[in-house]
Amino acid sequence: MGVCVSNLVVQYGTTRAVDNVSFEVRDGEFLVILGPSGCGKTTILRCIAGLVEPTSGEITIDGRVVNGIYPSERNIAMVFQNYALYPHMTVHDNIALNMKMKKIPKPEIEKRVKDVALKLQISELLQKKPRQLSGGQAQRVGLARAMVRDPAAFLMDEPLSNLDAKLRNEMRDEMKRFQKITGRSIVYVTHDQIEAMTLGDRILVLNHGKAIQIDEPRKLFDEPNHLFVAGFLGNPPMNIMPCDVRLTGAGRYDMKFGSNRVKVEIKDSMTPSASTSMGFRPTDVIISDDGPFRASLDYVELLGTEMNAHFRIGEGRFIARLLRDSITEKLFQTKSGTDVSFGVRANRIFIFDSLSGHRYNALLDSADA
Amino acid sequence: MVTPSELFRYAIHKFRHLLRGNGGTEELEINRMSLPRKLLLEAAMIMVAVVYVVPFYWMVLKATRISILANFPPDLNPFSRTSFNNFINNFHQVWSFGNFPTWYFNSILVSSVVVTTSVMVGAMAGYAFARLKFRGRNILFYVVLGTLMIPFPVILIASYVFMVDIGWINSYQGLILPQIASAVNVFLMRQYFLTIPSEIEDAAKIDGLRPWQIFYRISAPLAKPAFAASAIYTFIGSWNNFLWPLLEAQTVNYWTLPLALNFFKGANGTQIYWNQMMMADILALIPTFIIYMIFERYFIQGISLTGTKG
Amino acid sequence: MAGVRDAGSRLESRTAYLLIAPLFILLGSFVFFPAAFSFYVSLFHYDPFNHSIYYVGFNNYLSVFDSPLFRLAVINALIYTTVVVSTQTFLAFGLALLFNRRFLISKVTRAFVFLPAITSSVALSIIFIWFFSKQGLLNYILAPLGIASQNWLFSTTYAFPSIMMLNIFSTSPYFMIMYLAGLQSIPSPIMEAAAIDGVISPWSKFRYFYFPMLTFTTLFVVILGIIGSIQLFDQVFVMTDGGPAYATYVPMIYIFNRAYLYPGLIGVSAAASFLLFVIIMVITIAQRNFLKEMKW
Ligand SMILES: Nc1ncnc2c1ncn2[C@@H]1O[C@H](COP(=O)(O)OP(=O)(O)O)[C@@H](O)[C@H]1O
Ligand SMILES: [Mg+2]
Repeated sequence: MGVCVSNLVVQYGTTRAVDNVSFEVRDGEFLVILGPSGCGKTTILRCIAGLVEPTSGEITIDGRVVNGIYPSERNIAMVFQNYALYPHMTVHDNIALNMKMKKIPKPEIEKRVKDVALKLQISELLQKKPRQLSGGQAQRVGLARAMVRDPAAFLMDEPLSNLDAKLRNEMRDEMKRFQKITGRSIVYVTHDQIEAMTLGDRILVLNHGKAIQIDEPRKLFDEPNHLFVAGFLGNPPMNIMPCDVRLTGAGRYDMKFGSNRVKVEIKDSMTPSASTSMGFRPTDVIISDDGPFRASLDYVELLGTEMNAHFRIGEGRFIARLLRDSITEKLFQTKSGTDVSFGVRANRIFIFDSLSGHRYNALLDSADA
Repeated sequence: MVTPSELFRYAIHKFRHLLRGNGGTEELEINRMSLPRKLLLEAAMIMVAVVYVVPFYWMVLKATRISILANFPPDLNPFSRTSFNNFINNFHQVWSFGNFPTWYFNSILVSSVVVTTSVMVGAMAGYAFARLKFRGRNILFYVVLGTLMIPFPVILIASYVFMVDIGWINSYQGLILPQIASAVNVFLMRQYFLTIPSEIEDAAKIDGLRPWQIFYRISAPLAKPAFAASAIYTFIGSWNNFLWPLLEAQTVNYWTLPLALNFFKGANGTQIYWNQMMMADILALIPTFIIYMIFERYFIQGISLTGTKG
Repeated sequence: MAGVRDAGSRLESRTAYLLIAPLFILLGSFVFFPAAFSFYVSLFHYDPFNHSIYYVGFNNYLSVFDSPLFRLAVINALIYTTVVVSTQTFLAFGLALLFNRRFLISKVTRAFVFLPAITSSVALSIIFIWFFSKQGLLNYILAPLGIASQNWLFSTTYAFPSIMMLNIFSTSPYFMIMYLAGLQSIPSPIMEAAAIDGVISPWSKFRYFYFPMLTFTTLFVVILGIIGSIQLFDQVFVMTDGGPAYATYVPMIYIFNRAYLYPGLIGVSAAASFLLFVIIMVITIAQRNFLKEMKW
């Protein structure tokens, strides 16, 4: 049941828009595909819809392989970023067209159009033309057009991107409600991590056409298993510091960044020569005189109740997102270039292979400056 | 490298801008302009317009006169009671002259068939080139554009010989068929279809429309301005076409109006009956004039694309 | 796009072929075939009316080359093209600059200026036969200047300039529209910035903005003008039929007469049309090379 994508590849000339992506959307699940622009999100969605025939790979919807089947026969519905309403038809006809094509009897069509219009609060708009609608209304109509078909899955391609910030927040709640009333699987594409985190039951992170990680939002944030995920999620994203590594014993390594040292135990194998990075979230930095690390303060930005302190370690830079309190407040008076001691919350340091992006399964032994 | 296709692409680019009609440089002049300068410019515009209207005014004037000679002093009022009577009189004379109603009918028949078919053929092909994927699409499109490079005389003589050979001289199909295929119409339509967001067609596919249904239910209705523009100048081009009917229609039964007008010129031996000639001119102008009045906007959009005129 | 096709791609390509089929059938029958056939005919003595058809090689071409009449026609066409294209381009640009205003009056007057564009060349020619005739408007205007009235189209000196005048009159508005489109595509912030930079006088606006920004429009107008002018036919045929004394004789009259009046010379006519084709190609390619030099 749901939607299943396996080993999907889409090749455009020399660009591989989608590179061997597999995932499953469970029945009734809200799956978000998240990634930067151009990473292949739309292409995946269009493959599921049948608007692009994949170079290879299989797509299953509701247990049925749909490769080569015409889009309208796939039992899906799609919602577009630019709404893609038929400009010459009324809202009513936009919603009804699909049922007309299926030769559903007129009274039945009327009933179902009225029904979804009521559910999505667009009843007064039915006789309007798309150009008379605001962005939010247009997208509601887009949702209605999709919903009226009661498909196995909804495919949504950045449906909120064309809306202004305030409306986008409102419509986000709307999307949640939409999932509840339809109860169907939703594949939702976005490049906006807030949208992804708030809406998704699970998130698939995509980069350069490759699936990087698929997990619940919380897990994705707390335990990114890839450098890309760590650097993509969070605002500001995770600090990544390049390290020098030395093998000190079986599975035990010494990692240096600047004058700071971390001793770690790595469960999976690591070649000491490999370039390695250490990552920690700006929010996990603790300023304290007995912190194990030292860095030189660059400058401090005031955000309100919080602040961003920018530090340097050699060539590297990182940011600490700090709550304003008696200790951190002092940073405002600290001269640029002064060394400051700090620590990182326990178990919140991640070790990555800089080249492959892979996260090592590491246990922190001790740290000092 | 500039090929005709690029030239036309460029023209379309301009044309699209006109379609949307968001003001360009003309706007900012207006606030700053001093009154005398504005009046001067308006006077200049009126003068130019007068220069352009005078020949047509004279055409109307002559059609309301009975005498073949210029009066002295000339009576310049075409709206008097006598003028009107003369006008009606001249109309009767022209209308009953030779096969004038037949020529009129021929022109209407040929032009309307050419317009409907040419625009439809152009829209169909333009849509396929814009939106449908098929093997050889690019090559075939360049083939279509390449026809713009072939000058008319080269086609003309062989078409004429061909018509003679297959016995289509003096026939409606011989008048009509060679005028239908128009690379410009294809190109205009294609460019217009390209401006329609492809997501709308994706949505239609998901809604269960087949490619041809998307064409006639979704895309074609959205391309009305392009249909209008290409219909209007195809009509004017065909209505005013002279050279092809001149070769093709060798008996009076198949003449179109331009041939008739040319015939009027020498119809009465050495004596030139200006009043009848001008009356005939007016009759020939009426349909294009009406269409021009109604669709002036589209006509101008179309012209900025087509470029050459008979 | 190897390997990437829409689902239902066969349906789509089948639809596409159906949609382009009518176009290609028509193009094949009435453009490509005649073009090729025309070359074939040019190598024959081709008289379909008397069923006398035999191969003559390039003799038709030679007889066109040898014909003083064809040479005269080409020279006339070149003179005509030079005068008409340069004048009408200049005029079209000027008119566009004049009418590019958002005055109500400009919209109304513009509509009148377009009148020749919808009028058939034959009707226009007839109106201008009167204009240039002995009782016509031109003489009426010139009378106060003491110029004796005459029928200008009967004069070997003035007949051709008269036709040039008609065509400048009637095609300038046509190209004016292209310039108008070009002018309106210049975003107004650019001209606002220019005004702030002190570019205020109409001349400096033209010199530094309108003219350089519309270079491509100009070349477009020039090329279309040349192609149209070299193929001049209707007006000459209606007004003077090449006369008086070949003063207005142009290649299309030569080609037409040989096909229409002397069926035995259809092969010559086809050969001449190919030579005209070559002349048009040479000019187009020369223009193209000129354009290649320009960055736009
Ligand atoms: N029809 C196409 N032809 C060629 N390349 C394409 C086509 N569609 C998308 N691409 C390329 O595939 C990649 C992924 O595109 P897309 O799926 O639209 O990205 P996203 O939606 O994540 O921004 C991009 O590099 C894009 O340029
Ligand atoms: Mg996208």
